[in-house]
Amino acid sequence: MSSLILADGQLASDGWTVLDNEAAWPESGHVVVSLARWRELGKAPAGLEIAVSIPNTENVDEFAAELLDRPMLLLEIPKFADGRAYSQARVLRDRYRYTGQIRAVGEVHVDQIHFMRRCGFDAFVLPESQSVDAARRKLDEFSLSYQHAAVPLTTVWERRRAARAPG
Amino acid sequence: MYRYDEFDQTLVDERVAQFRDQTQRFLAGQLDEEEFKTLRLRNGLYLQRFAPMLRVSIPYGLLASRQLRMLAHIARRYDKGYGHFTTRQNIQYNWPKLEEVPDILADLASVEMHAIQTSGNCIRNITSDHLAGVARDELVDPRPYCELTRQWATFHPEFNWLPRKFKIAFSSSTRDRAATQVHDIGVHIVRNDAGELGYSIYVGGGLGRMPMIGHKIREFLPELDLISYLEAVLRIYNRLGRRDNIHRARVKVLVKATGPEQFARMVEAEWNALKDSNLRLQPQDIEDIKSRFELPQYDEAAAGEPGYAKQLAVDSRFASWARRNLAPHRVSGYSIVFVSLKANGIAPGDITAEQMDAVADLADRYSAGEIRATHDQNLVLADVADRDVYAVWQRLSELGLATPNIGLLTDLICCPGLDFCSLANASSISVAQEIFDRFDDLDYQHDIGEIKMKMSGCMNGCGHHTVGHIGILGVDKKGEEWYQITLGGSAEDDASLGDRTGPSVSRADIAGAVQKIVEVYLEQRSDAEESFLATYRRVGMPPFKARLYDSAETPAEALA
Ligand code: HEM
Ligand code: SF4
Repeated sequence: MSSLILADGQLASDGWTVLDNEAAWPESGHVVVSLARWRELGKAPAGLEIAVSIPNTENVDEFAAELLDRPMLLLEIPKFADGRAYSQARVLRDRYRYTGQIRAVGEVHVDQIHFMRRCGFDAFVLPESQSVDAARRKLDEFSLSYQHAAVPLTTVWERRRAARAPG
Repeated sequence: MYRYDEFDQTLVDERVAQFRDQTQRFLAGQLDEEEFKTLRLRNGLYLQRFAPMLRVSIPYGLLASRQLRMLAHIARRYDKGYGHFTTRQNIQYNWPKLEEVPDILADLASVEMHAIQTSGNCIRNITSDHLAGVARDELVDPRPYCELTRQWATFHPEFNWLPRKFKIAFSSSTRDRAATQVHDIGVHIVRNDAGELGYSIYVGGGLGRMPMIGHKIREFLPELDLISYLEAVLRIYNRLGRRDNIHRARVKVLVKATGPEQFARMVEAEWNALKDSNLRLQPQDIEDIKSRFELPQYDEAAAGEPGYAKQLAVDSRFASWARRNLAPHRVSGYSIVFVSLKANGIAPGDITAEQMDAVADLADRYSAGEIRATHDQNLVLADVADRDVYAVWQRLSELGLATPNIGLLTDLICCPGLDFCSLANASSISVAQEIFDRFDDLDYQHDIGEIKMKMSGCMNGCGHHTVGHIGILGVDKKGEEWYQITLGGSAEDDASLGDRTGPSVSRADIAGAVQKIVEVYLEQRSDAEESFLATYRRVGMPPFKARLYDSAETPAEALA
């Protein structure tokens, strides 16, 4: 069983159903569709909450505007060591000010979720192999960062700037 | 020397805890081999032929004496009493125990050091000119810019899982001593016509299987835009670099595929969206970093004191060393002293714990307490007053660190090869030894003059063979060790890749082949001032080829 953990370390129950590209639309509910299907559709059918799952090969600049009102975007991590989704998350947060949930799905590894979070992910579907306890410890693995990122963690450079500000 | 503030220290300490946790989980079976591999590789830990190998980061090659003493302590306590300086100004240990690596990292952290991002597909150690701050041809000291870049790259959340490793080098002088054009990004600090400080940016250089020289993608980038621009390059690479084939994954392959102009346009577009964000530096950020560097205090009286001229006249061993292993300092009355790690019988770049301690003592007594590592795998004491040069030489001689060969044939670069590396096709250390034996006669080497020989045990090119004036590459032929030779490479301003001489030669013949190449050069050069590289560029391959492959020893002239 996979588990869904949020940025604050809380477990959450997953109310979303993944809809295959060929599957018929349900009457109501929360469904996840592929980016391709969403782009065909153009807007959400009445009565449905729709989230969109994005392959990590896609260029966010090409479709972000069409997705900003989605309650949730899923970024796919096909392989532990494939870092493309990190850039997608940052561009969604920093450039397009996307405010919905960004959920990591696929080979999500506890040793990476601190960094994913800093890139703007705020929910993680942990595969069964990953320990929830470890994930909780790892979320705050580093207390500082040099780089600005989506999470409001004051950067080292900002702290230095503040320290030298008069008064 | 850059001194950490509390923030730098906290991050390094938290890394130790992180790695300890990962190691414990691995040893307890909670992380599998593959998972642990990708994690430990972000920390310089490889598993090699016989044991793990740990690479420790030395940002831009600069070490304080207490740090070098700690490196000695680590060599003694956790390894077999020595370390190996690499071509990217780092140090490697070949025999640490996996369980002890967290303790090594903790020891390193106690002297403001770490092994963060010294391997793996992330941004690696930032390298620079080993003569930064003391070179006469320098525009500004590049090290504060390197340090800013180091901080930006450290635990960058977005760029820790790139398609492949990413190396950045800085140069700020007329002569490029940091091989910037064979790096993923080479940064040249320059002034524009208006006198403003900024950078020329080169992208897509690299060695390995597909060696390439970098392309200049931006003529002038203003000083405060360094980090936002680097971020733009890295984002384009992270998004578009190939991930389907490890041998096609470096940024050089992407730059080649798009063409440098198109690559530059993509970077500009991304940068335009980033340059006014909080990535833009404030002038104070740079001042801040500069103020954290403790710089040597020079003694104005030194220029007026008698230097070492008297000893030069009476001690010919000293004179021969001074000719090769000293360089002029920008402050008069001071000299730059090279500590040669290329002695006969020693693998190039190796140094014992006792030698490290002794060099640290020399640095404290005579050279502002600092040591630099060079990309040629030597060390430098950069701030020695002329009055002390003779004493420094005497002590280095006792230590076996005064081989007067800097820039000469036996000052060669060589990778660990079959002796330590599991990817090797052929040994390189033993070939280096044979070349040492053949060319041990220093007068002969002095006569040959400046020549850069570089050797790798396989096409990954850790020994930079493709940019050696003479390059040697180990290849495997039906389980036997053979060597391919290239001539005419260079990693400096005139960067170029060497040309292959022809078929590879056997283990038995390789040292003899080098000798033949040197002989042809000596015959062909127009006068003693014409270097090997200049001669090769003038006369080309034919005379060398003729001597190497023609058993009848056709006179070179006949072919020219
Ligand atoms: C013994 C274990 C080592 C292993 C397994 C190893 C592995 C590799 C590999 C696979 C590459 C090719 C990367 C590529 O082309 O993308 C490479 C490149 C390189 N390695 Fe090593 N290496 C080792 C030791 C060293 C040492 C001791 C040095 C320095 C003396 C070194 C310096 C380099 C350099 C400078 C490159 C050139 C890469 C470039 O910028 O294109 N390596 N290494
Ligand atoms: S060049 Fe090849 S043999 Fe030499 S260290 Fe690198 S990977 Fe090993």
